[in-house]
Amino acid sequence: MLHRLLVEPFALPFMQRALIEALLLGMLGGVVSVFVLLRRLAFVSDALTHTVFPGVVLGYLVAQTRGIVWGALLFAVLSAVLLTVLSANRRVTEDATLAILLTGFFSVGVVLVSRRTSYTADLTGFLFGRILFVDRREIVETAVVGAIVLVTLAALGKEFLLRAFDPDGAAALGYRLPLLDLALNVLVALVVVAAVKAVGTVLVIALLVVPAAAGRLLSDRLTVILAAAVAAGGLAGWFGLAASYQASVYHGLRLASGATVVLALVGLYALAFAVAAGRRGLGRLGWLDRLAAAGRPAGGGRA
Amino acid sequence: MSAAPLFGDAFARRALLEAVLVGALAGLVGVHVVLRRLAFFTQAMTHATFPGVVLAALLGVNLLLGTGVFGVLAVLAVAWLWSRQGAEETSVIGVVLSAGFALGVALLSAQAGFTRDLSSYLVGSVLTVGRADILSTAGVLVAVVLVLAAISKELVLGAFDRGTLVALGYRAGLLDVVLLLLIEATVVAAVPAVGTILSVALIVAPAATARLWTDRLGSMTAVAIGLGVFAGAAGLTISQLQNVAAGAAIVLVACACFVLSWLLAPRYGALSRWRASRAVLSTVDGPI
Amino acid sequence: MRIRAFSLAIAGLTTAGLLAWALGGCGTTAASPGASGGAPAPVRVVATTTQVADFARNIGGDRIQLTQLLKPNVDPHDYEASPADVLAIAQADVVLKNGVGLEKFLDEAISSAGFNGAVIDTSQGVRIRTGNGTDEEKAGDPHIWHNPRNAKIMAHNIAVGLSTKDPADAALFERNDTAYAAKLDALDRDIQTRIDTLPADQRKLVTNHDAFGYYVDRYKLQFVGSVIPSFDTSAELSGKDITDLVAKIKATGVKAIFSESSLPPKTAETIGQEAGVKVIGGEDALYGDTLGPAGSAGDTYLTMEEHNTQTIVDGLS
Repeated sequence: MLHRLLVEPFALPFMQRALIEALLLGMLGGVVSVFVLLRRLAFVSDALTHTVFPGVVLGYLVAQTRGIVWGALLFAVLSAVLLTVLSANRRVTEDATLAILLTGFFSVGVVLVSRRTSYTADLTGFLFGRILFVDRREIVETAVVGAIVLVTLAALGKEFLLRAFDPDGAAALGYRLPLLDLALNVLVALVVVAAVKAVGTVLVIALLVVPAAAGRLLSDRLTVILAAAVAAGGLAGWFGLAASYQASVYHGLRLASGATVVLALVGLYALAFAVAAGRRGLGRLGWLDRLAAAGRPAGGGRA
Repeated sequence: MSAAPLFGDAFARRALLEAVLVGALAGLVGVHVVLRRLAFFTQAMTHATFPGVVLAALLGVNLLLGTGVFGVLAVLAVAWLWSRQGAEETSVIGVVLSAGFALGVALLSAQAGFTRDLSSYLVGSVLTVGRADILSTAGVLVAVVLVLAAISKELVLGAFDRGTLVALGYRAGLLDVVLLLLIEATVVAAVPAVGTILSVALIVAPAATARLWTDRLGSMTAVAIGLGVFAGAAGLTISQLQNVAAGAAIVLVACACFVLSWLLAPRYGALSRWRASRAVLSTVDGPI
Repeated sequence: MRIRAFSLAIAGLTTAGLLAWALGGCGTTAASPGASGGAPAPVRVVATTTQVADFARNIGGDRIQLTQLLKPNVDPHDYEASPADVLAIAQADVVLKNGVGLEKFLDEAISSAGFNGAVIDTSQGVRIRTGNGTDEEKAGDPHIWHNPRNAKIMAHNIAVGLSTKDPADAALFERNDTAYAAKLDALDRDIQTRIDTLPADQRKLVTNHDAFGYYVDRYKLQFVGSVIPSFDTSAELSGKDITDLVAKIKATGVKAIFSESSLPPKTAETIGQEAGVKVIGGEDALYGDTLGPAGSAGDTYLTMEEHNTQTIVDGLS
């Protein structure tokens, strides 16, 4: 039974390729999500998925499908630089800057699309991904991007962590914090670009946020979080694809594969949540107490 | 205004009216979004309410009902997770956003034959708002004005000095939830008419711009509302004259206002800060 | 310590990749057609659009086992492949497509499925109108089926293609083709008669997007304009687009705007209000890109064209 659910679908070459891509992206996302968690880059990830849009359109106009990755990358770097520059003003919080960049860049993309309509045929694919159609070349591309990201993280990981936990210390040691931030943002952008084809822009954010968030529920220790995040990313790819296959082939229910992967990831998050809650002792009803405390007047109450 | 002949057509007048209403509503709420750093939450709400859109279309009920229900669910989920993990935990918002949006996409793909409103939902189309859209936006605007009139002071106190707020005996957690619900109501009212991107832009950009010009909440709110309304009117005018999508034009005007203010605002603009730092440097340079 | 964790992750990724790759090397035999013994199995056919699938049903009858990729009322741009679809292509004997660049997703799906059987382009031999000038319609206007004569060619192409795959049933396919062609001829005459009942100066069409070029050409209608200027259904309109079309409608005195079942009616309604003409949509919407779901007025090609004609005639008279 389990064999039919989780192994059999992947005898088919196209499911196999989708699985490899999902595993690569899931585990890559798992690693990067740890830094997204530590540096609170969830909104940055979300914004990058939108700011690359005009780059995708321009890249497509210049060099068809081959141009997409480079256009996206160019605009990702551009928005990372603008984010750093605009946030230098203390009156403007980073989240407001991000929202403005996100909507502004996306609107530029919309203007480009409505001027020249040739790209929109792939707009849906861009938003939701086509993981079932990945070919060998794209898998290799993902693997290369993944290797670049992992090698950079291995080289700069210590600096990123220092920046996250002790920014003053990092600055005192002579690190240029804006440059470190920029480097990390570019790495996130690379994952976004690599994952666009598979899960689409709007769901990439799940890969970059949820794995480490799930790991964080289970432990405070970085290595455990990292291991849990990588495992969650990989497993979600596997289970999600299997669920999509099962539903559409045996039950006549079409479920978009990108969405089932993300839902599997959210399911794992919920599982981690339950485990964490169970560990803290359901007897004391920890969260109920806390929720009640948050809602209760702290001092005496007000008429 | 001299733009009167431009808005001679009924659809353009309706679009203008909607843009003005959304601009005012967004300015009001946006000030709190900016002060409380809730831009990501706002953005997440636009996506987390997506399954509501799909379900409402499937069941044939009002779109506002569907998005409203899912919006409240998302607000409660975020508030609950925050109560466990602390409000600085942005990953919580990311999880709720992903879960909501993926659920919407899955529902959408399961229902063969319903994909038609999707792109207009994401991109929006302010030019085709109907009377119902305008009425619901106006209704939400009135409700938001009333609620803010009642608790605006408390919300601002909560943004700057939570300790005092709690010491005064307010239920801080409850106030937070009320603020989140206000944002959610704004998003739910604005998104079906103008799309997710334009909603977020009108909520955040004018308020962030206003913050560069003034410190006081009252004037900040006034500037934000004014800028929102201006962006709406100017963007529509550009769309009428040039062949540019209306929603995108409004967003770009709002963003341009922000960038200009970022450079030129009297005290907090880049230019005057640069001058100030030069002035300091020259006085330092002088004696030595 | 942390570095070790990263090396671990890298090692994990690499092994997983290699493992999967190796699996890929030895497991590439997709479920192959296994027709052996007993009565010959029906031909396994995958049809892309609703129209092509309907033609295939008429020609193939119960001698084919049909999978239709696009569902009713789904814009081809919004097509999202399910694993079942790709599996169906992988196991198919024949794939039938509309052609003329309509199925942009098909090449990817075919190479993804590893399908190397026959792909029959049903538009072979149809005289293609030039497209609307966008890249989207580089190959020409893909809505060829809105002229029943083209439908005849498409059905015939399907009959020939199926016969090559299944010579034993060739005679049946040919009989079905002849019978269906007669129905299409009758449809063509019927549409002409009904259009002729309209006053000559009222034979003007404003639609939601320009899907009806072949129909307009065949029955000598005048095409005034469309709400969405291209095949593309995602772009947002500018204020100028709307004002321009309203001016055109007022100048030509068209009586109605026809909305389509697979498109949101909101923009058409805005323009209709503006120009002071009625918008025909909802239940009565024209079927432009796809047939309707089973049980609707447009669930087969024949009823769909009848419905469209009736709606147009009613709206304009």
